[in-house]
Amino acid sequence: MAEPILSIQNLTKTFKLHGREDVHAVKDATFDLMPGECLGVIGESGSGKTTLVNMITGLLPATSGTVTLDGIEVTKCKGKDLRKAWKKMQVVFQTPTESFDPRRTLGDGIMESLRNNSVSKAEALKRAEELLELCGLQKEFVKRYPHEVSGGQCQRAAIARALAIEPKLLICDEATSALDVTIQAEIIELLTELRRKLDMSILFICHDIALVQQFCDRLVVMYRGQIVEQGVPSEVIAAPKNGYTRNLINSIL
Amino acid sequence: MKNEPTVRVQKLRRDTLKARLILFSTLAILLLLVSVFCEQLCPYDPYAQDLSIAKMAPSAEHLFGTDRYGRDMFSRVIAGAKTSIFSTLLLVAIITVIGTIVGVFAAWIGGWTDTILMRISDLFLAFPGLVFALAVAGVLGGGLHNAIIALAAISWPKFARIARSQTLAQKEMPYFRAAKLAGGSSLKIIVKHVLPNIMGPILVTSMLDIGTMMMELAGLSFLGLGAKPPAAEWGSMISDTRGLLQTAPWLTFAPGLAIFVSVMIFNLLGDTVRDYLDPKMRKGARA
Ligand SMILES: Nc1ncnc2c1ncn2[C@@H]1O[C@H](COP(=O)(O)OP(=O)(O)O)[C@@H](O)[C@H]1O
Ligand SMILES: [Mg+2]
Repeated sequence: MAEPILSIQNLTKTFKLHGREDVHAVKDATFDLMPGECLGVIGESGSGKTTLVNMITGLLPATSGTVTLDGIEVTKCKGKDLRKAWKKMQVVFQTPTESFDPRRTLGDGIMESLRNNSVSKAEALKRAEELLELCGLQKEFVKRYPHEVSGGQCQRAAIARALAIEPKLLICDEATSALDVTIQAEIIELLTELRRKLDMSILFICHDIALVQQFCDRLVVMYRGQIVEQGVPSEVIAAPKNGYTRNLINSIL
Repeated sequence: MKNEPTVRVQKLRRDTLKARLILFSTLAILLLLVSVFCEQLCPYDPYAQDLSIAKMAPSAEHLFGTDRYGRDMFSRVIAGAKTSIFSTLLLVAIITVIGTIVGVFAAWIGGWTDTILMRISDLFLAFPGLVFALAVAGVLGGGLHNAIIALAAISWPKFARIARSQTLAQKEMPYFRAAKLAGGSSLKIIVKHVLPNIMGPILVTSMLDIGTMMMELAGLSFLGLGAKPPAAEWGSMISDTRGLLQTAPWLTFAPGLAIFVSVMIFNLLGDTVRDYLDPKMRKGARA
């Protein structure tokens, strides 16, 4: 059996708020992601998906539990070690336009990780143009500003940015939720194609069970911070064990 | 087609805004030029006393008349521009830089550092400005330098608060997380992403503060805590001549008018820059 690329053990995040009840955003989550696999995470808004992503990337310290990415224990990392971990994982965010600095071009955003890893400016620019083309945009988009392009185009550029340092794990945090249905389909198509071309694992976070069924090999269902069900999408949908999953499926089918 | 009138209104508003921006920046630049070239512009030596022509009413030779030592008031007002405007700009620059550094630092580090820095800034905010200036003058002595120090000490917290809240807002944006994941150092992210994105509101606040600070500096000088006679400074000139308000009102009127006009120009410029940077207006500009 191969080693998982991402392993999450008993991951928990409790937000302590002054004078109010604690928020258990993620409770005791445990799952693995195998190399080359695409794992879907579904759950309604507020079920802790983004909090989970922030802990996986190490941007948010976990209350307890561990995240291990390709041999690096992210939950123990700080500073330099975290930067090393970020070379192996990148995130595509929900709101494409806001995921780029409004004062910098898309090209600047795509080149940033390369420049931070001492790639020359000319080389980084060439890579950015190639990446844009790989993601279905003309290379002229390097000079555009985020407010000058559509949401779908911006999300393509965000995917290009995420791919720039060739991460082993791509995390899509509701990367299609803010887009129109047709654009959503295009982005899914792009991701499917990229998966085929590049050797990459994907954590696909979504609140649309139909999309997850179409795109993912395996699926994790989150409800109020807890993982209530795991399995192959078709099986989970055919025979949901958990009451919440059943409601979720019934609501859309 | 339906929203054509609103587009036209927007365009009109934008055009007048641009006209205002050009007008007020020109006036502000003019003021700066006057203060830079004050020596060349003064028709007489602002410090030369000639008691034989003391307290002369405004005339063709002496536009604003002469004071009780026979110094040409017009020359003194122009010379005062240098002191008043440069010390104000210096003061505003100091508080903008210090406030921004403290605010960004507090928001960046967070936790206890943030709490302590913000409590300190509250402490300074709670101090009545004049009382603090009196205390500083008492400890360090009077003089323009110390007036600037006193005003800087109580005015930076406003900028620290703005910089802090703006930085916190940037930290919540997805682009900020993307920049972190790109692996840049804190300094790099602050310089490349945070500062450019928070500069707008901070600069507008500094612009709007120029007028206020000019008044406060003049006020301190008026009370004898800032520039000291015979230095030509508008506030101290008003203080110096107020005893003659009955017999030679022009002596008080001239520096008063200078303060009024300068403060107006900088305030209007600040307002216009704020409107100009307002994203709602900018969106209109792109439509
Ligand atoms: N910084 C925070 N402080 C307090 N509560 C938070 C914070 N971030 C998220 N939460 C809470 O945690 C829960 C999960 O949020 P989130 O992870 O954003 O959910 P999702 O991405 O699935 O919509 C929500 O109830 C939210 O209010
Ligand atoms: Mg979310």
